[in-house]
Amino acid sequence: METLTTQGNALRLVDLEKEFRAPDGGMVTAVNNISLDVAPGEFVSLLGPSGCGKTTILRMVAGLEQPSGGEILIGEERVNELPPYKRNIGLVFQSYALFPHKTVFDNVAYSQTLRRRPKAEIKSSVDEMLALVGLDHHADRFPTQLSGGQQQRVALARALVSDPRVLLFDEPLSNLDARLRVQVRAEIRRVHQRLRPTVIYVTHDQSEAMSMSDRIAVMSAGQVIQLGTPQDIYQRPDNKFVADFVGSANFFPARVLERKSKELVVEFSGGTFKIGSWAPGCEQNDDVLLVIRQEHLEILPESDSSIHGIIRGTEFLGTHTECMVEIGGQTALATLESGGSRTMPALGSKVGIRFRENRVHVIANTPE
Amino acid sequence: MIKRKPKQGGTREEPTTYAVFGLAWVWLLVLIAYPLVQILVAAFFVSGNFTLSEFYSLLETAYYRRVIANSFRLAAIVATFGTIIALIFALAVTKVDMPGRKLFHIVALVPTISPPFAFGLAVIMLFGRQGLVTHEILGLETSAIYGLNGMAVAQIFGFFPFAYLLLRGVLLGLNPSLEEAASTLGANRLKTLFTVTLPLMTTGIASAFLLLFIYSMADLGNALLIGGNYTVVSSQIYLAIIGQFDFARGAALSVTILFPAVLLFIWQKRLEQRTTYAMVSGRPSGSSTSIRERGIVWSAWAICVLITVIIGAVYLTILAGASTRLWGVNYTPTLDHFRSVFGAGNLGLRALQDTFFLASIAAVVGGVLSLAIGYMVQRVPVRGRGMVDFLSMIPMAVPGVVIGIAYAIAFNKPPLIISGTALIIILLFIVRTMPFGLRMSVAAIGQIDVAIDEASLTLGANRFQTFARVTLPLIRTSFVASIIYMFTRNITSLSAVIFVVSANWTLVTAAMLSEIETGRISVASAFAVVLVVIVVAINIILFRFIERQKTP
Ligand SMILES: Nc1ncnc2c1ncn2[C@@H]1O[C@H](COP(=O)(O)OP(=O)(O)OP(=O)(O)O)[C@@H](O)[C@H]1O
Ligand SMILES: [Mg+2]
Repeated sequence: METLTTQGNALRLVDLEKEFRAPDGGMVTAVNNISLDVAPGEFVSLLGPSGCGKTTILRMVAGLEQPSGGEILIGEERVNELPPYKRNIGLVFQSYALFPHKTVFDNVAYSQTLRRRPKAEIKSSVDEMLALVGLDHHADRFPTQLSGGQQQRVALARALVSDPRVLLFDEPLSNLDARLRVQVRAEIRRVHQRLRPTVIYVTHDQSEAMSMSDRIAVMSAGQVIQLGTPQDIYQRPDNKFVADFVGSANFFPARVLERKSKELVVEFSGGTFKIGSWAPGCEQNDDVLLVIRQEHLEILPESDSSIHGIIRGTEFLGTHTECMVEIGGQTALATLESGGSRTMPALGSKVGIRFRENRVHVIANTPE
Repeated sequence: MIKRKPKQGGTREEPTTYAVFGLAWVWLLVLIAYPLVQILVAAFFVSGNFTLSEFYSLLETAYYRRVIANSFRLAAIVATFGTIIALIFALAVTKVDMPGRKLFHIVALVPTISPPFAFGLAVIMLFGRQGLVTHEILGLETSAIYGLNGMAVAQIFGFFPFAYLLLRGVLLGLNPSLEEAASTLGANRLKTLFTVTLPLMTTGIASAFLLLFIYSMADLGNALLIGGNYTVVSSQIYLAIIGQFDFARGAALSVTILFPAVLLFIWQKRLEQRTTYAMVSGRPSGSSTSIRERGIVWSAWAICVLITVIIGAVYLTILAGASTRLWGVNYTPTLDHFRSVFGAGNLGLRALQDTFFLASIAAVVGGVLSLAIGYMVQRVPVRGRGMVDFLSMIPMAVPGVVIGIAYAIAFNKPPLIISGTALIIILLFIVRTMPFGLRMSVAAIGQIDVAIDEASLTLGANRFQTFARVTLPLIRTSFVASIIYMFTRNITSLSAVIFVVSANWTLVTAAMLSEIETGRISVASAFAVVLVVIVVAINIILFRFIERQKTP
């Protein structure tokens, strides 16, 4: 297996911009001044709602779209002027884009035959790659004779076989059903850890981004809103957009009483809390939002807490029960752990609410 | 001019890609723009000075005014009746559940691939001075059929199939749920037809009308055969050039139909565009509601049978003419006329050989060019590709006679003297058929997901490799079909190439015309039979081939 040596190059986007001409003659800014440094072998996800410019970035990196401004550097080389076929980039499409008239083997061998490598070498590297994605028994089939997940793995093998400097994925799993998605996701992760290509992975599924990435860039309207590790993004979002987009969060308005070096003292629902994690822009006397993930908001008997709420709905999910609780005129999602002796609270009943201070994050309450 | 959906991709290209694009431009400028400009020069410049005198003398002469009016009147009549027949036929074949639908459809296809004046020929043989019906059966000595009536009949039945194909496409593309909705709401069949189906088809119907109008205006063969004293612009141009060698007059006359034809064409394309927007659902849905009411079924069936019989009668008449001794005088069966077509050392055989040789070369070169330009237009982000597309479509709008004399004028003098050669015929064939090839290749390439091209590009294949290894294998069926179609049009065309044939290189259609002019109707019929048999055979083979490609 010594031929599998993929180790990606660094990728740098510098002030990258893309404007499209809209049908009405005006200009649409799809990508607005984005800079991003991806280390060799790193796995970075672009996560954002539909239309925020994720695909456009990928297409510019692949050379399928010309940037309106800025630079793209792959391993220190500026590639803006290179046509796609000279960039040595792997691109895995949402629609797989397999060549329907070629067998699985020929699909994967495509880039190798273009390079006129000896037949035997091509065969061994293609076979190896097919074995890696678990398709060595399907080499002679045509794409239409494969399932969606298998097709996606052919696309992955095809992109990987030429040792691409950067590997790009555009929502590769969105055409698969939920179970397969998890399976192929693990596959991609495994292959990445084996070969360490540099990966940009576009998705709007946050669990996909969280489970696979070294870092996530959360995007909105052509800009990167926050760039960080999955833990950063989830536990310490910079603003309400990120907190809301990644996982389900509850937001409670509060006020900063005092800002110390290691903690923020906030007032919420008549109590004061000391919180160690906050986003930039939370100063003394500011109105802020407490960000509390659903799983960190616990339901207790009414007497066990000073904060109270009224149960408005419950949903039993096996591992836990999800409760809609009205707290101070606002509805929040809270978790009731299964097991133990606790019974399901009745609708309309009053309950106590608890959260741990070290699970709370504070962001500025800026109007949207 | 012709708007299409926004094109994908903004890749940077190799210089060689731009070079191909440059060649396309050279091709368009030299072979389309240059001759058309030459015809304008011939019409508007006398010894280097701009003048409208040729026009004034045209328009001041009552005779020419009448000729121009004749063209438009004929076109209006043909377009009106042709559209009506085509509409009824299309509705019947697509919507009515009746026996023989497939047969009706196939019979209606034959006129679209046969020589354009087959209908004129048959009309003369049936209703002319020596006509089977008029002379033999009714015992009349009449030449009433020569003129407007005969031309109108020949053109209506010769051209309505083109309108039928267009309308059929529109009907198949209509979203059947609209009609179903109307009928579940209690509208009966006729009411649904008039309140839902037809209104949805208005742009399609208008488009069919304009198409027939253009075809009628551009038709030369029927005008020469049965025009009689009803001279139209196309036949007048022919007389001016071939009879009097008056190129200035021919050019000025050409301009009188060139501009209307191009304007109508652009208008028609616009309408066609809108028609496709109206088909929201996109893909043909075929299995729409079939009409089963007996009254409607039987009347539709009767109409279709009548039309099919008329078309069949035309070809049977020609066959009869080709295999009897002397039409109108002696109906003894004979194969003499075929012998005089195929006889050794005969002009007919040479014409056939020349035609096949030239038409094949033109079809293959034209097919490859259409594919290359079609690929550019669809996939390569080069500025000006829309213009390339539009310019290559122009010859579809320019009446054959006009582009024919444009070639005769432009390539008979420095810097490019190629008149009298095989090359000029081949080039004219290609230029005239390329719009069809281009439309077919653009449509075929458009069927392929752009991502497949892009995958190839990112995997390291340049444009040429992508084209050769991915695009071409995926569209090869439609590529073959387009070459066959272009070949068919080449060997049956007359109006343009008639001006560039020579003693060295002649064509079957031109030979047919000269047989008719010298009164040898039977030999002309034999030629027509040979052409139709060949064309139908080739198309059947093609159809088989396509069917076989589909199955695996
Ligand atoms: N070829 C184009 N012409 C004009 N506008 C375009 C073009 N391609 C993309 N856009 C616009 O640019 C913006 C970003 O598009 P992009 O495809 O990058 O979004 P995305 O983040 O990939 O969305 P999705 O999650 O839906 O795939 C959108 O507003 C889109 O309408
Ligand atoms: Mg996208």
